[in-house]
Amino acid sequence: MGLTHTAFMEEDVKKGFDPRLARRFFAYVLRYKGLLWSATILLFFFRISAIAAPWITKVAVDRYMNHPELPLDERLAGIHWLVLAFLGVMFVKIVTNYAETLTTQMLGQRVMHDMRMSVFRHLQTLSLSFFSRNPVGRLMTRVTSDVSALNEMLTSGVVALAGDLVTLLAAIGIMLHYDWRLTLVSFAVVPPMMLGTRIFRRVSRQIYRITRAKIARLAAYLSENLAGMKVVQLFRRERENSRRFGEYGRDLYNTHLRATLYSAIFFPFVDVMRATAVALIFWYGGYRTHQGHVTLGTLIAFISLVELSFQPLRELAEKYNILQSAMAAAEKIFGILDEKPEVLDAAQTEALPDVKGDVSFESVSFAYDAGNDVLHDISFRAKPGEMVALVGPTGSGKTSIVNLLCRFWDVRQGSVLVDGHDVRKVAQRDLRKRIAIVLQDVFLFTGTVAENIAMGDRTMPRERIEAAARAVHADGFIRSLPGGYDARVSERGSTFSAGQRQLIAFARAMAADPRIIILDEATSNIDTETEILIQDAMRTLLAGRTSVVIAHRLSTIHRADRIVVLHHGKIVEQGKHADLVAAKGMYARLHELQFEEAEAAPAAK
Amino acid sequence: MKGYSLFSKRLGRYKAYVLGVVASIVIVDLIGLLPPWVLGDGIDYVRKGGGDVRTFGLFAFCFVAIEVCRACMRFTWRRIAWDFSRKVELDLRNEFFAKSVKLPPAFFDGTTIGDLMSRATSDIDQVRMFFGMGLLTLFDTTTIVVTTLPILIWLNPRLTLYTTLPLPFLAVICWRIFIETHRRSRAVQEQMGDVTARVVENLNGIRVVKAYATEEIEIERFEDLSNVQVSLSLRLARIQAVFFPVFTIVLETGTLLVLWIGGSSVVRGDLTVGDFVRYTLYLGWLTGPMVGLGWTLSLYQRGIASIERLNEILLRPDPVDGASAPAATGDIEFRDLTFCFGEGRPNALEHVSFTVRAGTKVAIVGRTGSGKTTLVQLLTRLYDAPRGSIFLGGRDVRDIPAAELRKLVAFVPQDGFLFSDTLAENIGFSMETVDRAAVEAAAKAACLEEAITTFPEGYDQIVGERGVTLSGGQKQRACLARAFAADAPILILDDAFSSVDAETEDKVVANVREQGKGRTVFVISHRLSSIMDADQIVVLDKGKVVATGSHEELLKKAGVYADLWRKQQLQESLR
Ligand SMILES: Nc1ncnc2c1ncn2[C@@H]1O[C@H](COP(=O)(O)OP(=O)(O)O)[C@@H](O)[C@H]1O
Ligand SMILES: Nc1ncnc2c1ncn2[C@@H]1O[C@H](COP(=O)(O)OP(=O)(O)O)[C@@H](O)[C@H]1O
Ligand SMILES: [Mg+2]
Ligand SMILES: [Mg+2]
Repeated sequence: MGLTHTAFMEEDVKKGFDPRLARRFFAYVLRYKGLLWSATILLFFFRISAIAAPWITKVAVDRYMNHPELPLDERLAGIHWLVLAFLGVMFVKIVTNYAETLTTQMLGQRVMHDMRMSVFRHLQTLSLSFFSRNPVGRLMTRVTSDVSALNEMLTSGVVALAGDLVTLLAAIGIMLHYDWRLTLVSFAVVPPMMLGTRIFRRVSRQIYRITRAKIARLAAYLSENLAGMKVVQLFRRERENSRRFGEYGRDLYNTHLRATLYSAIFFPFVDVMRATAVALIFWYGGYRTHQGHVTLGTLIAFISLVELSFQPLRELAEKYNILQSAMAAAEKIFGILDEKPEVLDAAQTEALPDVKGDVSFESVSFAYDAGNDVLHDISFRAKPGEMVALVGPTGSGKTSIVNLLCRFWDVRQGSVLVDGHDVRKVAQRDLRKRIAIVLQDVFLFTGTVAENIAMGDRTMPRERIEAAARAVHADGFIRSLPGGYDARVSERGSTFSAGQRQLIAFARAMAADPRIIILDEATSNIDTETEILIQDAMRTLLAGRTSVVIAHRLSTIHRADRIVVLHHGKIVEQGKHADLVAAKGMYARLHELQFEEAEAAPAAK
Repeated sequence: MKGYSLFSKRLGRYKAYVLGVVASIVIVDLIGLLPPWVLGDGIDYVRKGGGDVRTFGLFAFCFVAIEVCRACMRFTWRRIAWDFSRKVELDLRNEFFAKSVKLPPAFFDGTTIGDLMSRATSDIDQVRMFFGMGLLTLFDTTTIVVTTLPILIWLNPRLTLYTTLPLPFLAVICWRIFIETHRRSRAVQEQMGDVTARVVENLNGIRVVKAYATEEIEIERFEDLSNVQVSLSLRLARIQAVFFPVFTIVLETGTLLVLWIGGSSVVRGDLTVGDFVRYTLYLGWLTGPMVGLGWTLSLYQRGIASIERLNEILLRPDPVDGASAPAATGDIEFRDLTFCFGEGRPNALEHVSFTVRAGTKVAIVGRTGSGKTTLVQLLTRLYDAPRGSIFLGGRDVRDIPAAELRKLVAFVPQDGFLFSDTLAENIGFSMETVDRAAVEAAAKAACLEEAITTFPEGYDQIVGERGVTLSGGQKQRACLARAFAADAPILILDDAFSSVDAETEDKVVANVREQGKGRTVFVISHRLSSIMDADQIVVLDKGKVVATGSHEELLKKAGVYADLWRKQQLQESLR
């Protein structure tokens, strides 16, 4: 039942309008001053021209229709002039409306693109520690829906709000100009309107948040089931999971109904308020017309103006919600942009020319969380061309050593040197360009096999890609795929066998032509034969290059130039296979264990 | 009109709702005819010099009273219509889920989660919109036109002719605009899907990206996608920007004509000012629904397109299943099994024949891609082998219902998939209600207990999407525990210890031996030492069986297996 707790609990930033965030956001908008000004001016003219129509009708009624004492010709001519004026206003309205919508959209899209790029670019600079703290689903929404929420605020929130303000002020101005008493009377409905809007805003905001969370839960459940369908079917959970899905759906349905209840009450309520305003105007205005204080045309114009000003009021609650969610989104986006990478390039980086591959750890201690060291005083050295193996039980710190060598994290104490350069003094990019790493959990990108081997580098020649694949014995199976190297890789490479995915990762490492190569349990899904072939290939191909290998199967690593045995983050012994076996230490025990079993099993039968 | 019959079939299911919607909307529209009338009369009264405050009050009261009635009815139809459309959504979504759990993995190989999700969300949304707002607007429009038009004609036939002439065009134009809008917004959405997928991939693979220092390439690729997104969105904006101007043109042309012709008529004395106001209001009534009509048309078209996309899933025939008869375990026989994943691909398995006696242990070894996983997937009917090639207890597995068959099997897949649920829920995945004791026993057998005690929430720890919060070894052991908990007579372990460290592996292997007693066990492993006690070892190479036999027999035969064994032995014992 505890589905995606994290995914839908986080939606809770309870902040009103935050001027600091707004200012940061508008810094992005102000990059496009031209568009911003055009949109504002166009908007102004559009709204003003929209107000003009009721006014023209008023003039027509007052001056000409309701004035029998004027000569007929003059009255008809007057009407015709007004028709022409109306036509002109209409033209302005159409043109400004079209242009305003377009400029606003352009502005919004540009700003959105900029923000998306800043977030994405910034994410690329952040360290792995950041990603291990933040789930992918959450980060993804920063780049996508949160940015869209800001755009929505820009295009249909702020701009429209400004427009509504223009409309309201203009309407009120005209009304006040003609008759302030009547204006006041029509304002009688404003207090109940405000109250209603407030209540509606509160309940709808809350229900909106709940609805969003429930939609997210449902979607997460669905996509997870689609992704794990094999498991669902293997364990015959079809009915049970359908039942749960139905339950979540039913729950969402009920929430939707509750949400619609509120708006089904609110919108008719606004209609009644509007009708009341019109009725009030009519009641009091009719009386004043009779008294001769107000003309008939004014009365009619008032009715139209009230209708006109109610449109924005109707949407006020919704606009307010847009503003609120945009504020929440801005807070989260700027939260990411404010994240500082924990691993930073030094101000003055040392150049890392031809790397020979001399790796050494000098009394390195390291902690992921301060005060909780996972590596203690680690020292070892790999000379160019050597193979170093890291051995030890799960959690002993093997991967952590690799993380330090790639400088995904920084050491707490001591130093990691590559060719005598402290890795903290060289640019991360320069360092990592010289290192290739193959992990146990292979990640394949959608695209083609060739693209995956080239890691998206479009300039990499095909020969190099194929040579890399041949070297790790992946060429054969790749060629048998429909399309060969251009075969599509499905999501997460689901149509490959697990070992084949690892082979592609090996080819990827080969193609990168590194000086240092790291294999972190990279051969676990590969059979021994292929593994031996790959190792041979690597040894010849990586002659003069250094490799760091982690494997559970000791057979994989017995030929290493140096074996480093780790336990609880400390080096307990290091040396060559034969020496370590002879030393009868921990390695010898591990080795015995694997070897003994091989001997013992047939005897047991 | 295939789409049409699909629609009407669905509509038929919700007769009561449809009637409710139609009835309430007609009433709302009929009431809606009154306010302009009252207002027009009132204005004429004022114009004629009427000054009785009580009469004004009466007019105002009537006006508000009518509006209140209308508001009540509006409330009613909103409730009914929205309830209706959400019901349609709920039903469709449940149907979608119920169907997708029946579809075979081969189907999922050929599609993406993104595509399926878009069907389950935006396509269902489209259908819902049609059943909700679409139908509503349709009836609304019809009622309004049928009632308002006669009034307009009655008020002033000539004026009506001029002013209503453009309205049908408005409907057509709106319809075209909406369709185009939809087409373009679909493109925007699809692009957005691509952008999202890119971000997700980048984040999932961030370790690789960083390791290969390809951030710049990633940014470039993302920027390309984002730029396309911008230009598609602007293309959409261009058509959207047209809509209101067009609407204005038609609406205001009407007002203009009323002002011109109607105004002149008032001047000449053919029309009262009250009628003039009334006329303006009624005309306004008519314009909105015309836009609505265009919208409905476009909703209908989109709805049909979406229903068709949904039907590609919903109407997909269920995979042929065996007649429902209880299955029992027994000997398993592969008889000349040849299998291919699809056109253009090499055979994954070729002429595979061997028999596994009930209660024995069989090991399958072979190089990467030799078809080991495929073989066990065929046995459990995740993929379907040709008829007459796999038998369980003498029955063709194709004749056994998949659910019955899988009841007999506990499977540990090679790439363990866990759900973002608690560990207990994951381990007890095969149980109707999670039996805590059984879960704990299974976890113990899988050597997972120790790890679980270190979790703050113990068995109630949520494992995160796909089990990301667990280490590779823990994930595999959790999958193992899940299989143990299923307690089935056939146990399949597909490379189930690859991420487990050597020490733990020994314990696990011993436990598997214990658990496997009396069961038929399939083991796939690269470490020969952990499978050599098998009663039978099947060696696969490029989809063909190259040898079968016990460890000793195979060693004597001096084939691939002996070779492999020697190599591993050599490696293990090398001094
Ligand atoms: N990102 C991380 N944050 C905090 N602790 C971690 C992280 N990664 C690993 N650890 C901890 O560091 C220790 C060493 O882990 P690791 O280097 O992955 O071991 P190995 O690769 O030898 O299995 C373990 O106790 C593990 O729980
Ligand atoms: N879902 C699939 N669609 C297409 N081809 C597949 C699929 N699964 C596996 N294959 C192909 O079938 C062959 C055998 O794969 P598999 O049985 O997974 O090998 P392994 O022996 O490593 O388990 C491989 O060439 C693989 O690419
Ligand atoms: Mg590790
Ligand atoms: Mg496999």
